[in-house]
Amino acid sequence: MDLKSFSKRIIPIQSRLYRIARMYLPVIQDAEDMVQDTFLKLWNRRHDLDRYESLEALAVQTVRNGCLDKIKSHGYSKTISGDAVMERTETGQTPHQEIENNNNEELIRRLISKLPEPQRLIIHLRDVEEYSFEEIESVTQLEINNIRVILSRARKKIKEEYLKYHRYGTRD
Amino acid sequence: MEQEIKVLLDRFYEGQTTLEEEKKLQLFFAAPLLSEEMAFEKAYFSQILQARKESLSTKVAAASVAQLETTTPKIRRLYWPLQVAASVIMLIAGYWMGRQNGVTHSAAGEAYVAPRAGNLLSLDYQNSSSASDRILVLNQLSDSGPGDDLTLQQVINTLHFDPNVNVRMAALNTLQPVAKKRVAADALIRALSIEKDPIIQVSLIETISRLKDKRAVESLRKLSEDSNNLELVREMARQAASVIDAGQLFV
Repeated sequence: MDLKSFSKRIIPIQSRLYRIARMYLPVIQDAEDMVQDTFLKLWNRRHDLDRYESLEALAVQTVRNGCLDKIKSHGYSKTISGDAVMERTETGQTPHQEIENNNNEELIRRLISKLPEPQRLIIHLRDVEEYSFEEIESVTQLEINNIRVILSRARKKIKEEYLKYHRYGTRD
Repeated sequence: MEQEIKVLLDRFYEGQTTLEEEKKLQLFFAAPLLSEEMAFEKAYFSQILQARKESLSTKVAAASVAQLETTTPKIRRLYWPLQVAASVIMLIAGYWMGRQNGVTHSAAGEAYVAPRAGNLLSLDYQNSSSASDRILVLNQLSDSGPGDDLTLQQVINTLHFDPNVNVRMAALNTLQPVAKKRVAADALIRALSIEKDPIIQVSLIETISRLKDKRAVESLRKLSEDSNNLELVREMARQAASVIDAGQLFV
């Protein structure tokens, strides 16, 4: 695969890859680096990319694995305070409706990123990226029925945690 | 309407809604809500819409693709600081050899050595002939090309076994124009495992990485793993090995 046809297929999905990376990595810079890394990794495999039915599915897998490796890598979670995202929420106790809404969105974003794998990937792919179940299947290699179950759990969990937060003000 | 939404939501939480139905939910929750009952869903769908708008900054997006263009030739080239280091070493070596050579030139003269090329280079003569004479012969050969197989073999022997570094370097320079020949390529690869002098090691690696001969990978790896070698040499060998490896896949 030459650079031209590679770019043609990868450029349209780069923001999507970025959003997925962002879901795993709280720091923007890290997510950007991850997208660049992914491009390189795929480009280095360009000779056998044609074997894959969907470059996008492969790219999503690559980003996800890269992010999981990074999270697992020594000290990453220590250097990144998981609550960094949350700070705004804590200070945002004003009654102003707009701020309240923003905080709720931020809260939901954080709740999604705290879900276990593969729940967070699946809920993100479905709800944010609007993937069909078939597309999710090709990324996760899970059966569609199984995907539905996982998605259902993830959605319920987010709601449950959200309500818990608002009822008790607990953050975890 | 609200009743329909509630039914949809039930299915939504069971993972049973279609993308179309989920679109309907998004639309519904995008409008202002009257009741507080579904505040979570309102927040959830508005977060989703928000999240979808997030995109890679154009600067990073451009850089992501641009990096690929630069990696294409990079695969075939050595890391640039190494290239610079190598050329500096070559320059110094060249200057040094040039000086030695110059002295011989004035003393011996070209015509005097040329007919005795074969003799001077044969293994028997290595101890009796002077290093500068041998270099002179080799330099002449590199101008005219090593010619017949016997002479080529002698140049190879010189590269492998001559006790003098400068002579070996001259032999390497003589072999470079014919490096594409299999005999010469084999000799260069063998020299990798024989040669201990870093200056020649560097030149050898450079020559071989240009040949892209897969058979060299093994020797390059060994070179890079041998802690007796200079760090620079090991790094170059490692890079050259991966360059050749990568080259093989894409040629």
